[in-house]
Amino acid sequence: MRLLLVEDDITLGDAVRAYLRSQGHVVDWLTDIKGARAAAAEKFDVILLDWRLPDGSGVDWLRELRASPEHRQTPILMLTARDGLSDRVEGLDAGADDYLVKPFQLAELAARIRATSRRVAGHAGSTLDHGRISLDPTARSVTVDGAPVDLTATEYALLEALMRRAGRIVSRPMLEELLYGFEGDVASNTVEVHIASLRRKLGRDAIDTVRGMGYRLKD
Amino acid sequence: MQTGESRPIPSIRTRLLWRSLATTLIGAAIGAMAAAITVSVVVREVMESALEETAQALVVIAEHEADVEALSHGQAMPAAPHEEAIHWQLRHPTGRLIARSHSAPDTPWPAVPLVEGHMKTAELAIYSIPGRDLWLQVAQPLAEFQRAQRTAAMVAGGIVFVLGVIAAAVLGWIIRRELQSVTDFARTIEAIGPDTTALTEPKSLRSELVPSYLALGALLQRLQEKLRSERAFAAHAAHSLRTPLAGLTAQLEVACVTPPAELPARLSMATASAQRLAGVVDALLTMSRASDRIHWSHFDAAELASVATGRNIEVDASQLLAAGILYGDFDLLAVAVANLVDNAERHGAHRARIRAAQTDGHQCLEIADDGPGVSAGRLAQLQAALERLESRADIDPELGLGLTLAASVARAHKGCLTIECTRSDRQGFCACLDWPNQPPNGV
Repeated sequence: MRLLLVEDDITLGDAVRAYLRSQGHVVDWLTDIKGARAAAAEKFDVILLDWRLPDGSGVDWLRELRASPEHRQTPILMLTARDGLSDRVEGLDAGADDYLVKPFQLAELAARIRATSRRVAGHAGSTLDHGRISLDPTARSVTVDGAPVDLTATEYALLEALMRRAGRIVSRPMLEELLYGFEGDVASNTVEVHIASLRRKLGRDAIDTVRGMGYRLKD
Repeated sequence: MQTGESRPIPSIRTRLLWRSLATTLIGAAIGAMAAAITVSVVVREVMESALEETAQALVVIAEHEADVEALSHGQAMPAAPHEEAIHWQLRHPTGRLIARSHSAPDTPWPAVPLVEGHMKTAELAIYSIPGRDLWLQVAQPLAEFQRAQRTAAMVAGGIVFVLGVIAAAVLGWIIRRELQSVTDFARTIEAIGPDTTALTEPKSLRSELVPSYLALGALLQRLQEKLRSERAFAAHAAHSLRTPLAGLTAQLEVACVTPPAELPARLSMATASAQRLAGVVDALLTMSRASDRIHWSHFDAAELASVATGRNIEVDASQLLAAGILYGDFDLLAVAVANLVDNAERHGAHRARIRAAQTDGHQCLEIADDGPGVSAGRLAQLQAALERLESRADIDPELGLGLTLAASVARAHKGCLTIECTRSDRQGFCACLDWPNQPPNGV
């Protein structure tokens, strides 16, 4: 998943980014609202948002995000040191999908990211299923007709992005942005190379190419 | 209730009751005696007057009764037998008995000369009055006199004493009733709990208790403010500690699965977080101390330069050298300056300038940075939070630890903290700690 982390504490932000990357996510980390506002022009699967930021309140920005059509559905998880009932209520009422109080276990954070993402996508189960393909984000495993398939981290990330948007077209620039998190420098044919590799492992007809638009999992 | 030496504490009610009872009873006894004596004297005078009036009436009748001697022949006047309270004898100026009442002796009363006025014998009280060619002597047994006097005195004294006893009882009831207001007041105090925000007015408040009631209300308000401040401080402390603690635990968690080559960098981050945590603890302890008595002393402003350092910020403290001697709690002010510099560093400033100045009874420490500053709305929010902190000791987590600490230190010095953006484009941030150059009265 592509995640936007907005956290001003350098030590915490660095650890969260490192951990989530190790879990196969692509993490864009920003330390203030000004930067986050600019980054939010792009599409993210989940936004992790601190409450108190140097240039304002995360909750105020959360309300701003929810007011914009682009982010009305984006899963947003609040990370905050404020543990009062009224704080939790305010955060959730402002539009947060979940609320995690610091300090937290990184494994719990990852689990909540997956759960929030599932809820927003409209399926509560722990696996993503499409046709013969089944993807388990917790175990980071993929099966085809019940048989396990070995994927690289990049292939897994691409497949997860396609499965989370099953039936819809995923644009090539979006997949390229996803790959930036892994490879830094993405060549013009990198996406095609990884898609071809996925087809070999999942079946030739698993992924459709929609010419000029992007890719889509085949129904 | 007893004192530490087990000596019972005197009770106002018991003392008042006993003293009022004793005073009333002694007063009643004295009053009863006075009433008895007075009544006794008055009764005697009334009886003597009655004897005199009777004599005057009878002597007029005797003067006009020409044949009184012929009627009585020196004996009792003819009459049916009856009880007589007053006896009389009608005598010739020579002393011879002319006539007498039914129960008077048939010889003249001995040792009773014919002299006008009252006189007493061993048994009688007699009044003698002259008439035309005769004397009338009217007598009443002395025992009758004394019995009437005694009875009247006893009745009068008894009534006064009983009234005194009734008055004592009524007074006791009034004392108990009035002192009930003290009991009610004690119950009001007993009802004060940790969440009581205002005193309930006692049922029977009296004007004498109003100063205590008002003083207690003011004390309760001060305690509530202190309690609110303590609670806010505890919440703020927990809040301030959570972020560096989260950073520390997250770094260690990641370090556990990090390849050995990257481990030193992770541990370095964890150490930085632990140091930040230690700094937060120091700051919180300083804030806690700032609410107590502060230690005023003279110190060289240049000494503050040593604490105003940061890892990733360049601090210009050269202007402190020229500021001279300041007066305040050096330790508190040093921690405030260090936290404001740390604040500037964490908010993206690369340079900070510290300046101290003294003007017209005031001292000022100013920390200005070249960071991104804050928006106008955010600045207004922070200023409002500072105002609440200064006026009511309300700690707002939005204010952050650095500003809260600096404002608490300013408040402890009876001063204030002001903040502003240093440039018109809202870039840069400046915090100014202003406080008087001498301790306020009573400090």
